[in-house]
Amino acid sequence: MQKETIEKVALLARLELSAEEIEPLRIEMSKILEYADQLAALDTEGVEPLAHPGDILNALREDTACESTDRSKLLQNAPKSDGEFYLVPAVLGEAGKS
Amino acid sequence: MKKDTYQMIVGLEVHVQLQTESKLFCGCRTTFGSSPNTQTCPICTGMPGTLPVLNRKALELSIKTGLAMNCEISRFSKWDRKNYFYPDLPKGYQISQFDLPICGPGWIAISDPKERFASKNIRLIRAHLEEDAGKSVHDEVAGSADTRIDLNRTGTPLLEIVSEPDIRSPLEARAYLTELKLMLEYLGVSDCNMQEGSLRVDANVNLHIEDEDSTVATPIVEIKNLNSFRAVERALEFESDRQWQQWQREGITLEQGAKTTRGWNDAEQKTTIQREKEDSADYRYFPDPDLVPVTISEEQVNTIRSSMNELPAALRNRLCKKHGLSDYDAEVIVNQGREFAEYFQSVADLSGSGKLAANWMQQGVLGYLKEKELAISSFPVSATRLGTLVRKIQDGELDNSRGKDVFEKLLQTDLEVEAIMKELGIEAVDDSALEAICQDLLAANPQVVEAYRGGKPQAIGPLIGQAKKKNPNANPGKVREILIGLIDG
Amino acid sequence: MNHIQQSAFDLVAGLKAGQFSAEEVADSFVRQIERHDTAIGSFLRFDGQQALQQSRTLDGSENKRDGLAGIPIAIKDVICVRDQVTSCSSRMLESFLSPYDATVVEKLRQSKAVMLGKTNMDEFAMGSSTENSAFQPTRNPWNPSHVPGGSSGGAATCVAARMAPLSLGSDTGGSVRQPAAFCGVTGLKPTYGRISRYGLVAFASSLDQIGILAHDARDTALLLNHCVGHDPRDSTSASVAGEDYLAGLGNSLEGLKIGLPREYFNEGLNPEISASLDQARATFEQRGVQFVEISLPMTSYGVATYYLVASCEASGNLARYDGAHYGLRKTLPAENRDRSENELLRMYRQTRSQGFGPEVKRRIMLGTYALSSGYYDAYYLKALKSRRLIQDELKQAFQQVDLILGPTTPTPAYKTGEKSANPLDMYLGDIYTVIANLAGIPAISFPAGFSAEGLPIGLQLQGPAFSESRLLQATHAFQSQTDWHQQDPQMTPAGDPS
Ligand SMILES: [Mg+2]
Ligand SMILES: [Zn+2]
Repeated sequence: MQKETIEKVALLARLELSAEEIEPLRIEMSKILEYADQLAALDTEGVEPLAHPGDILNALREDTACESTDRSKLLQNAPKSDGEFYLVPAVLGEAGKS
Repeated sequence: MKKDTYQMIVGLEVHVQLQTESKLFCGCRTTFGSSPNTQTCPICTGMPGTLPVLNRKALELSIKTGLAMNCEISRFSKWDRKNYFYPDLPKGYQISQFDLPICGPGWIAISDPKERFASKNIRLIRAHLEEDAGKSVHDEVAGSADTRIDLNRTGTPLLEIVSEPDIRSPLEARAYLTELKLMLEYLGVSDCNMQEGSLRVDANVNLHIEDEDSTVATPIVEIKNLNSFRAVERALEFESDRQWQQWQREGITLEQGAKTTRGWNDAEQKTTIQREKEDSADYRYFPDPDLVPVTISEEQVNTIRSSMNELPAALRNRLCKKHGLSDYDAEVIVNQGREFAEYFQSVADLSGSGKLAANWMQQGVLGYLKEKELAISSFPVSATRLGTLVRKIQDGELDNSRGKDVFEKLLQTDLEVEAIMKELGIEAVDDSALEAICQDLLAANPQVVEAYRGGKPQAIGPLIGQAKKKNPNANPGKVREILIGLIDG
Repeated sequence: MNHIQQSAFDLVAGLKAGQFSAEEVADSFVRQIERHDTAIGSFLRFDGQQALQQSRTLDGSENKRDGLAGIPIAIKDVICVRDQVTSCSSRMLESFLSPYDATVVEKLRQSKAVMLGKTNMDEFAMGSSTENSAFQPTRNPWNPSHVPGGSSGGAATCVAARMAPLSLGSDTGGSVRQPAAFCGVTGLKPTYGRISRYGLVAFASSLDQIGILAHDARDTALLLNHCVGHDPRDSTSASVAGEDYLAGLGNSLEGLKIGLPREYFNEGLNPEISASLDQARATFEQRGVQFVEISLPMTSYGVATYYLVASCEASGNLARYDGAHYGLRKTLPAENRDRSENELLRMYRQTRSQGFGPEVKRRIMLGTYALSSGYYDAYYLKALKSRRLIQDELKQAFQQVDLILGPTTPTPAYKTGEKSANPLDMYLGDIYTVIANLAGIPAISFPAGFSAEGLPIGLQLQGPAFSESRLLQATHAFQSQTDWHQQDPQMTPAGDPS
């Protein structure tokens, strides 16, 4: 695993790694991935991936509206708000939204 | 090189908000325009420990829409997480569908009665159900350094409908969107209000250019922020022109250039490049472990199918067949919406003439609605009253101009057609009275008889006018008939 | 009278019979906490006055005979309690006030249990030693220089040290069973979907399950009765009806078939644990159990499969901690700013780098990498396929046997700091526990001996989905025959001369 890969992944994950953090992390991740590489030996031809351990299907709710939560109750946890909105540092014209 | 050596290639992605009472994964309401952050709860604000549960109605509306768009409905569908960071997305991922969308391939037929393009099917790749994001408000005027986030819209059900790149002109794009929107409205699955963002369009566009012996493609540009059909048309015109210019300058092909995103600036009527994210989009889709898959049975699909309203295309066909309308008339009437078309059908049935009814709908009714900016639901004349009027015209009890007089009164009063006719002194004139008038006129105008016999049938025209002066209720057709009978007799 | 030595089952009986009051019970445990928790560090937040107040109110009310009325319970700080801090032992949520109750907390309130406080854990439940808490260490009551296990270290120690008769933990890869083994208590991870996850802060959603820590199988059954049930707020909640887990507890084990997987006995297994296993086998055999050697070759793929699946899901689940809507927000002082970076991105990266500890960052990095384009198939998808094979293999095994017996951990509790420098080493300690999470099956760890050093040894029984009753019956039978679960650590209260 390259240092550049670590930096790229850190950006994707919105982490900022200090210069001192990168190298140990690179070594640890390499070791873990090397260990995980044993899976490559496993024959998984035609095996259906298992994303849910249970066999539940069709968990649906009826379309009924209920009371929303009091705004102040939710905004009390906001690092910054004006009492109506969450406030975040400005960002303009960032592409790539849905 | 001439401009006509390139072909515009367009695919559209349409996000439609589905009309549900509550959000896709929680019980919050989806009402537009509420005070900021008053329609949220721990679930749709992505609080730790909360879990989504799928709204049954949203699923059913998606299936219904898929059926209307001739899509294959998946028997097995699941939800995936699309991971990206943005402040209007509180969980850090959007719950969407990646590889098993509810609706698979389908198509929507478009046509143009004015024949500016040939009828065709626009193929659809898929339609999937996902949650909407919130809204970011950046008020530059106020000069605030912060962006304000309103999460009311977060979690509203969205159906994303993705077309194949089958669209070849701004006109086709508009036709496709018009037909899609109409279909959604007829189905009652969305209010399609573009101002309120219930229907949002992104366009993928590039050019295929005839270059010597081969065809080359320019890099694909995704245009965002298209908030009206007009904007879609204008943006496609602008963008194809811009890409053509750029191709001539730089000659970069699809294979050489990356896909870029541009925003449509409505005020300046142009597209501008949007800043890319710091990392190239890598959404790391994976199955959402908090939501279980959904199976859709044949029976369920049939139940939904049988609950569907008649679709615009089928209705147009029926109107042409049953009422003898032209393609153009059928399109105008059906495209006004379901209520308008229903109103028309009542009038047509009562009057016994679809064609006449269609004329009155277009000139009388539509003219009035446009002038007053009203919807058919607020039109003051009931279908029964208008139907009675058209019937009388059809039966010859009224001519067109007297009909218009009655129509005016229908708009202004609550009176029935017969009562208005009485008030205006319109009554049927019996044939003997008309014959007397005609005999008098012929006797007083021998030169007309002469001219008619000399091969000028139009000469009797003025006599019809005079007959109407003598008796305003005289039916011009009837008068003509009697005059000719008397001369020939 | 001091009530800390009584089982929760006996406390319920005594309270119902009016032999003592809820206040007396609460007072015993509150005093035990005040006496010992400074040294142990089980609780992140503990409100003795509130517990006493609640008990007093209960004593005066007609609810005093309800299900768990007056029984003190500790809650792992990964489960949301309304209007209280739920920190997950992370700086990120240090002052986060949950606006709602987890479903399991609602149920406990309905049963009139008395909530003592929130227990320490590895940050976001990632870890096997509780050393990854951002706030405090938790010490093993049997030997304070050893780790209590994790991630439910606080939940296990508070029961072991008799500061609470019952506690709720969470188990994603062994986080209830492993600390139970290290601390000499009983720990149950129910079937995936058995207890609602609504309000359990997610680490890895398809593996997470709320679990129970108690002294014995009977107390575990008692609490389980009040936690299970279908929850419409959790799509993965099982619709299989809950049972009265106390009812069949005394059933005979005659004719029960228990499998011993060959793969569990390798050179990594501590010989003392191996010996406890032999002893336990003899105990079970006396009760009419028949042992069958079985083979589970997929066992060796468990840890790799688990760490990929768990990290991938975690990278998504923890994306919400970004400083925008709740929790910690960090930005850099103006002079340290790189002007080319936009402010929002800077906030995200600073918040997440300062808010998460090293283990959480490591797993987010691992998961992000394994899901990123080009690696998805080789890591994440491959792990999901391996997971299918693991589940299939167990389903087959359970055609042959009723339960599977094995060690909970390869070794007894290790020393604090011993493994923190080598994450992979620590991960390998989860080899016996991760399988149950991957397969979604229930498993229980129960005390079965002590090492020469005097550290508890735990063994694990695993059963097919929804076989909690059978697991509890087997454990109960074993505990009727042995007294490992009744041993108490010798503790020196902080400040007492030793
Ligand atoms: Mg989308
Ligand atoms: Zn909500």
